[in-house]
Amino acid sequence: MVVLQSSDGKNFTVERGVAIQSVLIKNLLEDIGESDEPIPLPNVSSKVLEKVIEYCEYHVDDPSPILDDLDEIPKRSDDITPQDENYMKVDQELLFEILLAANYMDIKPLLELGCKTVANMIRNKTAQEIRTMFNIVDDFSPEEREQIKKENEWAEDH
Amino acid sequence: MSAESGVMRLPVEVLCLVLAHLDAKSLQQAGGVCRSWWRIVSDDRSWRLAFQHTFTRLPYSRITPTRMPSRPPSWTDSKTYRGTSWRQEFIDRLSLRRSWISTQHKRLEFNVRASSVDKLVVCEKHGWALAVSRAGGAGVKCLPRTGKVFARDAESKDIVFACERDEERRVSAVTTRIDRVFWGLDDGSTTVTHLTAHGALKSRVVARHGLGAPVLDVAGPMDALAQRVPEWAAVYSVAADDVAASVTADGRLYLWSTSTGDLVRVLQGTRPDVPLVKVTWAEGARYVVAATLDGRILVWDLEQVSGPAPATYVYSIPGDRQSPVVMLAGDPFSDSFIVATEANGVYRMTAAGGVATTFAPDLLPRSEAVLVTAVRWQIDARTRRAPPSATPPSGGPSRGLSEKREPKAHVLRLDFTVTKQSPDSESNTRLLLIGDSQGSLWAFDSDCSQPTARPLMSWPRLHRCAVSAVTVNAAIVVTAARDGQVFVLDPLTFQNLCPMRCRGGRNERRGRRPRVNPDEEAPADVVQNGPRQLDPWFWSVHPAIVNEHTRNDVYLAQLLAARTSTHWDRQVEGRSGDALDRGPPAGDEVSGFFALQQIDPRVMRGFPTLVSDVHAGYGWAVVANGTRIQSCFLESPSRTHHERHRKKAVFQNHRGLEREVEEDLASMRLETQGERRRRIESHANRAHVERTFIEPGERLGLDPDEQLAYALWLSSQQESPASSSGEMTEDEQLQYALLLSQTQT
Repeated sequence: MVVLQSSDGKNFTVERGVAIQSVLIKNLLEDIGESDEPIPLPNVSSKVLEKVIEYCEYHVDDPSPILDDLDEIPKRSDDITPQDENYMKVDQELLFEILLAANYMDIKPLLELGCKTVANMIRNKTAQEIRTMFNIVDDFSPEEREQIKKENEWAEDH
Repeated sequence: MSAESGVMRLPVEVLCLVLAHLDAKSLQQAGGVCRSWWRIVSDDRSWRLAFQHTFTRLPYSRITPTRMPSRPPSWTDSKTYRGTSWRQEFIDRLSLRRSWISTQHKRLEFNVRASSVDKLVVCEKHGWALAVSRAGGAGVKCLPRTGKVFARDAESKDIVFACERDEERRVSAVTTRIDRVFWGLDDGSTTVTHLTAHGALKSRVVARHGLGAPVLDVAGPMDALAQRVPEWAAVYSVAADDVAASVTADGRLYLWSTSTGDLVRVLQGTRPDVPLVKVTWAEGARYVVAATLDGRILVWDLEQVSGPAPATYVYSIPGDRQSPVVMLAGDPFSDSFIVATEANGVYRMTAAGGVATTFAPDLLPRSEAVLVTAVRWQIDARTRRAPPSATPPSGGPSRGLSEKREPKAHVLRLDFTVTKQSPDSESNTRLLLIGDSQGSLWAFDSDCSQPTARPLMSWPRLHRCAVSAVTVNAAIVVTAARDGQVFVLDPLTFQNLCPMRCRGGRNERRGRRPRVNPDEEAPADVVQNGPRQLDPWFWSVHPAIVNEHTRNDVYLAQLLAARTSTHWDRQVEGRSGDALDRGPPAGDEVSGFFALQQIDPRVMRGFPTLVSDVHAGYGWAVVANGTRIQSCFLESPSRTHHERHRKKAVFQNHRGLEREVEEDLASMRLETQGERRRRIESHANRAHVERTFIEPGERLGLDPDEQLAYALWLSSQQESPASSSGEMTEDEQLQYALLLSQTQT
């Protein structure tokens, strides 16, 4: 068993197999060996960590994703399983928190899943729609906008 | 919610991964979201990351040009900026892949009506292809994109024959370059066909040794390669464009000038009774390398030898089995060359040092079971090699070969600095592809410095039977098997992008796996007596055939030859309407054997189709399969690109017109009001005059003179209100007008 401690000091006890899906924790455990000390994760809040652990518990039996199925390359983003899709049905803030946590804890499949989800949100939307969706401020000056338009001309037909 | 949106907190590398999932269009939109996103979308490092992420590795060679543009990239000039970027590589490759995977391509299969296509020359720029048939001794021009085959009549310039058609000579070897076809004939002479850029064909006999021994291989000069890779042009077009080499069955190597047709030099192989079967050039035209039938590699250093000297270096192919050489290919940049034999494996050798690298020793277990059947060296990839340090001291390779070329030969001493400009040296791997008789395909880094190279990738048992042809470029690998199955593969991800299927073999229609089981088909007398009763000529070209095709094919050819010597009759020839009108000469078993493939189903039952040559660009593949050519073209995105640009140009023209009008208006403003009024009035007046006086005459169909008279009369009518036009009929008016005009004159 491994104890993980979130940024707000909450402890989560999980099985080793669940925890080592995070490469960060795996390396840590290899370095320090087994111990009952909680592993602090200062970048991850308890709410997010709970969600991440849910994912890891669900995928604990998955084969390690070492280029087994080469046919899946290039990455497709329409191959998300319904369970994963369901798991990702969270509000934007939490979604990005999960992405950050997956990146920090180095959980490749979760990071991949999150990226796919975000990419699916972005796909086939105009810049304005993306801005509205993510509440991003358009900080281009008119000149820059003109230049971008010029630069992107080639892509119009693709 | 504040501007500090969650998505903005994502680190750049995560955002990169997100954006890597997007297609070009969505990416473009994403780039327009805000400054930080734009920076990611336009930063090339993140694109490199995305490339690695998506394709698992960097490319072996780039599909976008890697050389820096002559002008520094600027914000405003997107055309120069796009050239070298990873972003462009990523987008281009992804869209190329997508178009291959989706059905955005056009497939065609057509019969070129040549007795059998052995080699193809494809001009990428103008879209034509020349299908070269050794059996027919001719090349037929066609358009793979549309399936058009040009006229086959004897006078047509779109068909080219290796020799005069009434002569009793046959083609025994053929080599193609982009702009030339080299034919070796069975009497020892050689012919070169020059192809102009637009595909006009011009053939002429350049060398007639006529020594009686068939030419078994021809190696043309390197200049055609230079066309393909522009930066080579400076190096090779002058120095090495003139000397071609041919080897014959009596063990001689001839060097001849393609421009004058003179025999420049004769080099003697090991023994007259040991044929030389393959020949190639290395390091420009410095080394000429030939392979003998008994498995020796002979290298002549043309700077050291003079006269009919023996080979400078003699190597034997490692391994204890005598085996035909499948491929011999020289590197224009260095003194290394690739030797592949069916049974012993594939080696890279250097002219002075012998075997340098062995490719895949465990790929070929020392058994008869696995043979190398197809090898292709991606020699046109940009090379990372440093300039050859030991440049020729003076003159160049062609020194002493052709005197009048000598001054220009200094050009060879240009070094290869152009390749150093390449921004990324890591994507300059020249691939070496090997196909074996079990249908597996292997790819190696051909510049590997280890004595034993490991495969970069492998496709075990990709095909169900032996790989018969393979080609590779930066974007795709195209392989073809003897059952007519063709695959388009992505060299980076091993993915099969587009399976194609060649028809042709009898078995293919039922989807049955063709069996190569000669015993089943062999007539009893052939099995007992063996094929030795054949025409001696057959044996003399035997090695050439072994090189071109594979052992089973040769055995079948022998059987068929034996069989057809009894079964062949005029009726078969009569049915060969599809064959070239020169046709396979009766009794010429080996030539006839391909023609038979489509003619006599009884003879050909159980015989697989034979894909003989494959050519591919990034967006197209052309496969020669027996008498047929199958082509697959992507609906090129560049066409829409083109159209858009054309529209833009039209629009700009339009704008130009507008500007002219504006300028006119501006100049008009300079006129005084009075002048302007007069001008407008005169203009309006003229229009009014035309409308009221001249047009009615035109409508009546009068002659110009009569029109004028009528117009005058009309105007007089208007000016004298007494006679209104309503009082006279048209005929009367006309008569009156004529009267008037007579009185006026």
